[in-house]
Amino acid sequence: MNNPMKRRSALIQWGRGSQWKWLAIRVIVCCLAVVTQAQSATEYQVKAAYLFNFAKFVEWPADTFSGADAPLQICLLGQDPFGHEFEEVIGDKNVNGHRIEVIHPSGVPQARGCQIIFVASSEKGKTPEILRGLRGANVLTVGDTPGFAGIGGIINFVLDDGRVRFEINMKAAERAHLKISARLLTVAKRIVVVDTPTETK
Amino acid sequence: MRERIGVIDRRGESEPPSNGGRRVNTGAVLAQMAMLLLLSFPAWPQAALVDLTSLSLEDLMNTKVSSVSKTEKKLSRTASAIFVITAADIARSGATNIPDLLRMVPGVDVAQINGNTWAISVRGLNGQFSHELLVLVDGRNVYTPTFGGVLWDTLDLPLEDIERIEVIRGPGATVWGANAVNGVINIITKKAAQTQGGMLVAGAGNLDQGFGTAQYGGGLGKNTNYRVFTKYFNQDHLPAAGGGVGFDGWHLLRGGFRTDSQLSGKDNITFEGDLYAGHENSPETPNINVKVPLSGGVLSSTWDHVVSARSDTRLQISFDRYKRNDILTETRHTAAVDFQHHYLWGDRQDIVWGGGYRFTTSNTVATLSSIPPHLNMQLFSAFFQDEVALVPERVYVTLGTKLEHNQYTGFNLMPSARVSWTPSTRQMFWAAISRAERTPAEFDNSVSPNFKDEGAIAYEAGYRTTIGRDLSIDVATFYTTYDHQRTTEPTPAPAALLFTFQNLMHGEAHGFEIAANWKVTDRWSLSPGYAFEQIHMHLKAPSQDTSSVFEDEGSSPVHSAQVRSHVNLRHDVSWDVSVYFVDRLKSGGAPAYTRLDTGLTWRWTEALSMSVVGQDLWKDRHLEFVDNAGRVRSTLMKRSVYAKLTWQF
Repeated sequence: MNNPMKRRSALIQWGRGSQWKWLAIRVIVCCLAVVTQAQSATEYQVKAAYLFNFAKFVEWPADTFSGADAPLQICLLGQDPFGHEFEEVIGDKNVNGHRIEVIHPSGVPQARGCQIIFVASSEKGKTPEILRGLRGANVLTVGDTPGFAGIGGIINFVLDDGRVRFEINMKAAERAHLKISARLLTVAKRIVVVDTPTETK
Repeated sequence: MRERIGVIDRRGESEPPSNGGRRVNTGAVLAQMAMLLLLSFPAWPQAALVDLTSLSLEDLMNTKVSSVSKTEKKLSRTASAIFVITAADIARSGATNIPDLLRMVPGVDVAQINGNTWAISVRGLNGQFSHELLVLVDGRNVYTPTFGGVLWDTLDLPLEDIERIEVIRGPGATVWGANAVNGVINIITKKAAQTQGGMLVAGAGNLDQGFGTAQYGGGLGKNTNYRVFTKYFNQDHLPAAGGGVGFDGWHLLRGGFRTDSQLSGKDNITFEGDLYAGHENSPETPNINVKVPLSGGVLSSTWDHVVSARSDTRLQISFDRYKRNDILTETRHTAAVDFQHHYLWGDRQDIVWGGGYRFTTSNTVATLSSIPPHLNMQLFSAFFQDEVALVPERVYVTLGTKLEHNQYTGFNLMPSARVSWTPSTRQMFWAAISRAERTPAEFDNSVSPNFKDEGAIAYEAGYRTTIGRDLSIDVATFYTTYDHQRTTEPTPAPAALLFTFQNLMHGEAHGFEIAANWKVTDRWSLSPGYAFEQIHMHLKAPSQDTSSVFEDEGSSPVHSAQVRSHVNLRHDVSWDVSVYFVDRLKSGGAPAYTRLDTGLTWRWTEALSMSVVGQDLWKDRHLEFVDNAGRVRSTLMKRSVYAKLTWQF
């Protein structure tokens, strides 16, 4: 089809052929815009989304929840780095039927009843103490300071080239009687195998 | 029956076209474009975008995060004209020394006089020794009181170890001292914990004939991290103004270390030090070429102590020694102690106060100088600053003052008042009035023992805004009145010296700076900037000075602009371009010039990367600055290219 007139009319013919094609193109372009926008968020928005996923992919012992609709409690220890971003990201969502509740306990004894405890970086110096205080509790301890997993924290966030990744301490998860789904294990950046847990000292 | 496009847009017209076939529904198209625009305009609240909890783990893993660091949060509240050069800016600039890094800051005038001498100032009044600028490295003052300026040639550390450089235009807060008349440059190095492992950098080019850095960082015991480095470079001669070789090549070898020890939850001690030695060819006036051996070293320790969640202190002690055998042949030893206490008082007040003492002694060979061969100088300083939250999170007023005592002019009081208003998280207005003084340099005082402080009062205002997630703009304006500026007067004969200094000039300067950061796409960001400054000086009646007015008015460009561009071509290749335009200097005759730097970086693996950088590619052999005091000759900047390999293990 070397005749430009013919080529143009062929295009118009294709375009004219179905209004659905135009619709499809426009919808795709809009979605592309949405998808390309979705590729960036703030650090703590992503960490909040991860905590939501940890709640989905970690199994707590059968007697942890008082009932099928008991809330799943996430405790934040220390200076809260999430701010309003926790509510923005998680909102009213459920995990396996359990509503997610965010608590700011004043100390470790109050935190023992939570399923997930996020230890903020402001507690860096007190982390060994905190982990000792949680000995035996069925709690998923999550942190974002270097070395957290090495001293017995179960999951530690790391920043890797502008992206949030995490490492998992399997031994610590075992000690807390938690089962971590293979999904999380395959996606983790690093599995910590050898640690110097503070709980056994 | 003709079908209508009814799904997306019911309002669209659908006139049956007269010649059969179908016409595209323009209304629907417009609606779709509008939706596209809506979705892509970043200013709309996050809720309109994707729900993060619906992303799979793999997608979460790939989400790039833009975190506003604590420092950025703090800086966005700073009631000053502040520009932060980040570690990423440093890596992308392709610069091999600190003066070239400062070119990217609007309002900072950087002019290279010759291969190892720069004239750097903020908001005008530039010269080889610009005494209106305070430069600190990790809190330690690096200026030399001999001429009251900074020896930029020996201010050299591995650029990879710089965490950030904070540049404050204007007198800054009162926590800085005298000499911070027009600006403060604070170079902050990375903590040892951030530079762990080994790093080898090696490169060469036509001007930088061979350079390299070897560094290793590790841990000592449970709570100490360290790094040790050694760095060498050898720079060739630049062309002389009249043709031929400029005799300004030089080389410097430096070794240094840093240790950070977290002694307990409340105490942190840092030790830093380095030693350097090298040779510098200095083309001095009128036609002497001197080979200057340089050597020196510094040792400093900083102890940070947390008293409580509301109070912390810092104590810094440093020793510095340098020796330069140029025409002056100077050896200088400096010891300094600085203390600072920061505490929160009540609900609304954030107070910082402190004091310092600096003792410096120099030995010079006085054949060509008026400075006594052996001279001690002491400086006492104290400061107090209170930031009051008039309306918490919205309006802050900061009042402070610095008090200094030097042996030449006695006491100086430098008060400052600043106010900031943050109507929303995306906007901030600020204004400030400050008084600043510059203590006489030894040279000034040796010529004229009654030389007074040069003073200035600065009136400043600025506005900062973030538009959406991808654009931030910072505007700052200033009006500074100068008093008691130095003039050169003939001495009534007979006298040992032909001239003396007096303080018979006054004037004003005004201008503004704009800096913006624009993330154009996910892969491309642009940082444009522009500065305008104009200075007018006048002499007081008995003055017979013939040059100072012209020099002060014309030693900095009226207009200067820059644009930096960074593109991620592929995930492992990035391309950086920086273009600088500098207006002509009326005093000294340096013409306007454009500078173009560009670099390509390949990250072969996580550990190995290579870059090829071209500098000053636009105009070969251009003059940037002529030193009116006539101490050193100028040479011409030339096109240069280098290649560099970086291996981190």
